[in-house]
Amino acid sequence: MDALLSALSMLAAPDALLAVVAGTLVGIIIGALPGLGSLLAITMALPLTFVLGQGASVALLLGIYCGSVYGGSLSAILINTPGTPQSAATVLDGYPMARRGEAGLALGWATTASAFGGILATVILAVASPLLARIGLKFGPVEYFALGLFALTCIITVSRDNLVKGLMAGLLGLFVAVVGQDPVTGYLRYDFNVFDLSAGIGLVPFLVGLFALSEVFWRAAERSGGGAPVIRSAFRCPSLGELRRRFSMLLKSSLIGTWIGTLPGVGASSASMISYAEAKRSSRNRDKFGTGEPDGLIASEAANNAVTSGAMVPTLSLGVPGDPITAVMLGALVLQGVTPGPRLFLDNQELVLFIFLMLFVANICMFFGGWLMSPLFSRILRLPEPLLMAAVVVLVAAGTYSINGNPFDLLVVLLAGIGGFLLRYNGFPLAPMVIGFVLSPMIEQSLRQGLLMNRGSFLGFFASPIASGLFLITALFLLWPLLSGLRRRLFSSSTVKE
Amino acid sequence: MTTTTRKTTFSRSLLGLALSVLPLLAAPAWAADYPSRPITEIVPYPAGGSTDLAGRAVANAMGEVLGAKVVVDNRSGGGGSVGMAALARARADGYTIGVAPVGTIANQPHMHRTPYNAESFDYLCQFYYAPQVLAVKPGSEFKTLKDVVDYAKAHPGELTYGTPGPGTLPHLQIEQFKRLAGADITHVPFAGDGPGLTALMGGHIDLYFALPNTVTDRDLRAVAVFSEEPIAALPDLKTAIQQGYDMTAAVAGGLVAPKGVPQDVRDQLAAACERATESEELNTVLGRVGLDAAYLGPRAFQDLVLSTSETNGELIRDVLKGGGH
Repeated sequence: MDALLSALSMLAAPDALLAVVAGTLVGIIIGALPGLGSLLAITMALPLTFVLGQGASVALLLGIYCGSVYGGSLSAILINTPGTPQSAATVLDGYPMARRGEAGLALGWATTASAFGGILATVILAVASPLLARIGLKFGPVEYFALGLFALTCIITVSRDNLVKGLMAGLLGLFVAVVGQDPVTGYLRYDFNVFDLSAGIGLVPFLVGLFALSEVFWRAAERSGGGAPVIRSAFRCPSLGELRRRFSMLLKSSLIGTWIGTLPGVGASSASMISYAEAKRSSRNRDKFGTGEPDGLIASEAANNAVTSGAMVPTLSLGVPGDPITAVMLGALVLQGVTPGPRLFLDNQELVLFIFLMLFVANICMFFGGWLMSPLFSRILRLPEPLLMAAVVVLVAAGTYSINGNPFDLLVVLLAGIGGFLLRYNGFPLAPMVIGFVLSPMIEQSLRQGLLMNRGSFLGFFASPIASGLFLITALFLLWPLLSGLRRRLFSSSTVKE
Repeated sequence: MTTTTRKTTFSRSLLGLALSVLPLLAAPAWAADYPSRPITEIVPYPAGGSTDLAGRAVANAMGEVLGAKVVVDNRSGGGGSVGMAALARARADGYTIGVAPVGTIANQPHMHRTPYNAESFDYLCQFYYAPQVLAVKPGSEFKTLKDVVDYAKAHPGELTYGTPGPGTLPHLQIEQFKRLAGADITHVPFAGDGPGLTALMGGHIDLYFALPNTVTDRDLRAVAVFSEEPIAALPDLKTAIQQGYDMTAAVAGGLVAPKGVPQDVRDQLAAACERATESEELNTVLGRVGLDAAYLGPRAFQDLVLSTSETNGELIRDVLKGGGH
């Protein structure tokens, strides 16, 4: 009780409240700008935490984290470009909705789903953090491999028009991620004696080039023709009835996000894809996925914001960061003299409570911040298209370069942009390529680790009940069209008999 | 503080353009008025990690001693080699220095074709050090190093050890230990210490080379510390030497500059680093990330890196390029 009181008094401090509001708003803006992501936003704020107090530092970082993960959805919906890698799956249904003239509703759903996911995950975190951390520990390489394989099935989901081309794009994505150092032997692969290639292809330059730059090329090429649709509609919250109808989707996606957040090293980008794959498997509207179906948008956005809270579980209770962003936050906490780890929950209860409460506040700020700011972003889209596209090019270049200060990343952006344009021109969907690229390292590394641990035998993978369960779900998902076809045939033949 | 950060980001975006013109404009460094402008300190790892935190703390301390601002510039990627390459290519005028973990500077050139090697730098000082401890998974029956070795000898290849990646310092150190003890333990590399330690805590792997504070903070157990003497943080833990295995292993790092910095500027930087290592703030920060402030002069640090490079170069050729684990 004392701990709760002192946590509340930390929360009520004006500098902490100011920090969380400012952090959330700045986070939304940075997240919405393609190329600038959560990691950059948090890194920029890191020096500030040296001068701010403990409470304000934590509030600032949490605000930025939540805001930036949500912000990525704005550009995903409005300009077909995920502002951050975490929103890659949001593009799939968000942009088609906007094209249909429902940009306002799409923003409303994204905001609602993000806030819901974040808040639900915070509640779960507050109640069950140490327990979740223990469950998370049960996930070793074998289980990670099974999870990655399941996530890969969403390639099928997103390539509805042409499965063969979708699979080809997915394989290409898996392959591009192979460039660089072999994760087990350290050998260099496909570096062509170029030093910069030996460090591999960065996610941000690749993603930004593939989506943002190719979109610019696409619109430039289209200008002589029909031109882009005019997107204009104000922010619209989904009605209560709609909310009730899709509540189970919100709930499930948030739970998936929370749970994946607790697994160190998987991250929000994969989480939103896993959630999308599961939504596609189970949603009543599964046939409409990829054409602007709110369920798809909800699956991605609720999950990626639930990850922000979920990722705090291993960070706080194990002292192991859940993703690169929480790694920076862990660093900031350590500098403040806090030692995350199993004993934090006993020794420093008021700080833990404060973090939970602050996450709650940050998610509420995020909701209202989104409400306030998305009209602003919609208005930006009414800029003359050449101006808007030129601005995107500048942002993309400046943003990508600012991450590592490496000119090579700019070359990657350009090549990925040209590649993305050519793929689109030939009718290949881009999303499977990103899915392959994001999941490739996790799948490869965990498969090979698992084989090392089982002395080269794949049978050992089935000794893990968790992995076997995931393999089974994957197999069912893949065989579903066959099975349902079979069932239909059996069913229809039996009705004929009657 | 906000404005400086923004400025850094902004100026970085312009850097691409500026780089091509810079060599023409920059006047030669005159040691008499050194330092007359801010010094850039390249950290070859992302913000927030232990190398970055140590790097930021030493940048502050150096700045105070030198009376100039020392700005941290994170250039991550390629196991630290991207940042080291940028440093090696920088102008040797004393206005660009970098944090060099021993593993990054000594091992990476043997792993792939880096545009630098251990000889490409002027060594300024070592400022941090920490001995490795061999941690075992929760519930493990191993109490001593001998238990581990005996089991590994009886069941070759059955035990597994995790590392933050192939060719990293802990990987080569354990390979070295395996040779010394004549034991066969399987290497399972992870993408960094985070996933690796989680796998140890979850009992998916058996052993991990970690810093002493990793063990104390996370209630893990260790079977040996690889230092000359027992350490204060874990007073009951015996050294490998005490247990009959004559080997030490540690992580360490210091400051380096591109080769060819004028001698007087170099002396000034080395002297500043020695005083910075005594700074209380640096000691506190290092302590929090599990490192000790430990100074070595330019010569001694260079010798340490070069000898590590030589030993590990051989190990990398045998272990990684020979195809074994």
